[in-house]
Amino acid sequence: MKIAYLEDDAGYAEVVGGWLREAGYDVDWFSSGVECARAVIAGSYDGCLFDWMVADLSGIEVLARLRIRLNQAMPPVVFVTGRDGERDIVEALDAGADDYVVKPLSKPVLLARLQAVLRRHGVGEGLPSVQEFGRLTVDHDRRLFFLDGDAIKMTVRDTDMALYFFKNIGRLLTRDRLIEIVWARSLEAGGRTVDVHVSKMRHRLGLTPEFGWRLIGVYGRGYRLERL
Amino acid sequence: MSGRVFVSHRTRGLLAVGLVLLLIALAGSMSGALRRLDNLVFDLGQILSRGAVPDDLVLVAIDEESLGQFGRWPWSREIHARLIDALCAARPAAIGLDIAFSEPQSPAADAALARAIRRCGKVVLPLVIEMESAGGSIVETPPIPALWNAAAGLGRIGVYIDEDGMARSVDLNEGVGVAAWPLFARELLRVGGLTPAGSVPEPSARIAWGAREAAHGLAQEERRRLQFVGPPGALPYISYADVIEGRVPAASIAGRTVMVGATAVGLGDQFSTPVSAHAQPMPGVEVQANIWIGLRAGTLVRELPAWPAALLSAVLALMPLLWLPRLMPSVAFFASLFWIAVPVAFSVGVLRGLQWWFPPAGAVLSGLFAYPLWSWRHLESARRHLDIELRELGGVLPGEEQEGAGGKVGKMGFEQRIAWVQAARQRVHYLEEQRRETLAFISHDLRAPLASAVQRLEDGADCRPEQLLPPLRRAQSMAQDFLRLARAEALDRREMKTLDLLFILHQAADELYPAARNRGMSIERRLPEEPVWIVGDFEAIERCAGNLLQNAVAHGSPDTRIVLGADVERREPSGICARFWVENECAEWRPERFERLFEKFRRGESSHENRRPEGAGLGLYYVRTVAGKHGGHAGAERAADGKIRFWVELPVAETTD
Repeated sequence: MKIAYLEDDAGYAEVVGGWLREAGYDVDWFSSGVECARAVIAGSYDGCLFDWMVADLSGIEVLARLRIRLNQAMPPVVFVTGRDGERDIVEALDAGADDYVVKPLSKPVLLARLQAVLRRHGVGEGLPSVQEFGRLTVDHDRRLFFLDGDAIKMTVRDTDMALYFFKNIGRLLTRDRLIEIVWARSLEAGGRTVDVHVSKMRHRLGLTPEFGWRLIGVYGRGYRLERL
Repeated sequence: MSGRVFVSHRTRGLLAVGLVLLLIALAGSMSGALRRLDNLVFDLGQILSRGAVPDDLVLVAIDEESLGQFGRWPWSREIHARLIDALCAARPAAIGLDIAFSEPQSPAADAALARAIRRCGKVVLPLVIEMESAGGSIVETPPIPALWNAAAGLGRIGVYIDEDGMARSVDLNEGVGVAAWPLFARELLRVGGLTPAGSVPEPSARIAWGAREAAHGLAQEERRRLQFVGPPGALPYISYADVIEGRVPAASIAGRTVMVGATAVGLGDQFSTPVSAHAQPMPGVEVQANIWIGLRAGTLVRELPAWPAALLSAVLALMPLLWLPRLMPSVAFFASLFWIAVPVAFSVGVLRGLQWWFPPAGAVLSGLFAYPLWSWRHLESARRHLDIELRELGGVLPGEEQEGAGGKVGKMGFEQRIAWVQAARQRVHYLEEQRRETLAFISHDLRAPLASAVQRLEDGADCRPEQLLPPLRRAQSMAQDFLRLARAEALDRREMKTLDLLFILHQAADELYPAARNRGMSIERRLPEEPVWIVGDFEAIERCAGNLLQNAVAHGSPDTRIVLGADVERREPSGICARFWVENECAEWRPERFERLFEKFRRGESSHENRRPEGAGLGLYYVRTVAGKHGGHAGAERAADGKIRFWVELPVAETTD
């Protein structure tokens, strides 16, 4: 797996680059946004890790260039940001980032996020049709959920959504994408309805830390289901 | 930007004031409404100045004494003949007889006078232009033909009487139909061999007496204002009787021009003049003498035509705008007072120096208005400037009292504006306070853990991560808290979105789960199943709940249960409120201590010893700030079962879907 890593702090890049290489990634480090954008457009990278603050061209601007040039062929992008304000993260997500990590970085979190976005190309392929998580069993083929062996009754929509979450564990799912996939863009009401369905899913399937789950809302713009 | 706006408003204000002043001055100078004021200025100039009394003019007065001697008026013309003879014997330059001889007397007396006049050869007689008592038409009344033929000259003695009854001016040439008749005084000058000074145009036409019978209507040419030598009596008189009795030495008459006329009040030949103080009128003969003096010395005053006068008024009216914008209000005020005198002084100067009359009232009036108008515009533009600044301040300064006020500035009274500026000043003061707190925070709280880590590293001996990480983490978390607080303080309700409070609370509880578990604590969620909609900021409310839970984890007794609860209830007066709270065991309950925990940079006492409090002491202050920004409250109270409960109350969103 080839990763383009944009970071203008050499010391920092060395540490993080080390983590990535250790995890088996092939890392190309760039300290200039312009060079990085050129390289990603020319070469075949499987993923990008962009820092927000770079002297010549910020991560957001690089991302914008890539989106114009590569369009559908965009590799997944994870943003690294020292700013964790809602506005900044929403800006990154709106610009097309797949996920973000906040500085100071934690090695496991970074690797988990990167891994989650890199899995995108093969959604469902590597997954077993039945997932076992302790007391919770998810049967993708039969579209069923079992909690302590009891089948959980859910509507078609809720089932669609829950199955989508379990196929994308650890990955940031933006609300727009959920609406697109589960509601097939037919949802007019927008955010509130998604919130209600996600809350219901948490409640029904017991997705709480006590059972090894964490369901996170990202400023109301996206959700991530994490397995602890 | 605002500076330029101010300047352009100022220019516009200047133009507006200039236009109004111009209109006032033009209306004042051209409409004639201020003529009385103009005349007042003129009269004042006459009273205040005196001309030189010439020594070659002698007035012979038909005074009370003469009346006493020669009996009732009219006298026999033989007496006048004797006077002429007596005067002529003394060899005067000319004699003007300001007595109307329009009716024949006795043929002998008329003949005697005619003889005397002819013999003398230097006598000028008057012509009167008067209104006919019957029919109302204007007629020229010359002396009877016998006298007229004998006289050396014939001149008009009429004086122009203003609306207020004052004799101020004469027409150089006047006549019925055609302005053919020169002034009596002018004829006297001619006969005396003297020439008038300055511009004294000849009558435009001379027409034979008989041809003008058919003409009607008074024609007047070349009006001149008189400058009087002094008040009535300024010119010395010789009594008529004294001349006849030979009591006057011939030397005092020789070579001089003599004017004879009535001064006795009973004879009615009297005029009101600008110099007639205390209603003391001036005898006609003295007025004629003044005309004679004026003609000879060239001191008769021409009136400025309307357009040049208006132009001058306009220039004078605009002058204050040259200095008003440059002066401070009090200086400008006194300058304006002073300025009122300037057009008057200018007018008097032009009158004295150039013998032109410029009516100053229009300029004076506009001068009176200049300061109030300018002040008004200035105040107005100051207000506008203030409004712009206020709007800018309203935009820059966050805070409830300024919110939305920007649009309302226009409707505010002056006092309110001032109050608003004061509020803005207080706000600036508050920001200054905050800045100081921030600096103190950075220079002390934030630096301390960083310094500690640096010291360890420099020491070199003990560089294990577990030694270095705690102070660095503390510094980082403080910086984080501080930034979050800064964001919370800048929260804008207009940018908030509708959120499910319960979703946020679950998330906060999820986040704190590992920390609680590490201390053997559990978090019990007493949350309703139905969503609770609020309008708010996701991050801020999540942090609020997180802070409360974190406090409970840090300060609560180990191996106990923390309760996170929420409900919705109606509260007065704020309406329906969503309330969430965090409860935990607490050893002792001191209300005042808990209240103080909500203050800035306040750290709670940690329940477990040997552990330094983490964070900047902003946790609860943050909670209260965020609650306030959402239109809610935060507080601490004692729960039923001896636990302490920290709660946050937020208004519920109006659910429309």
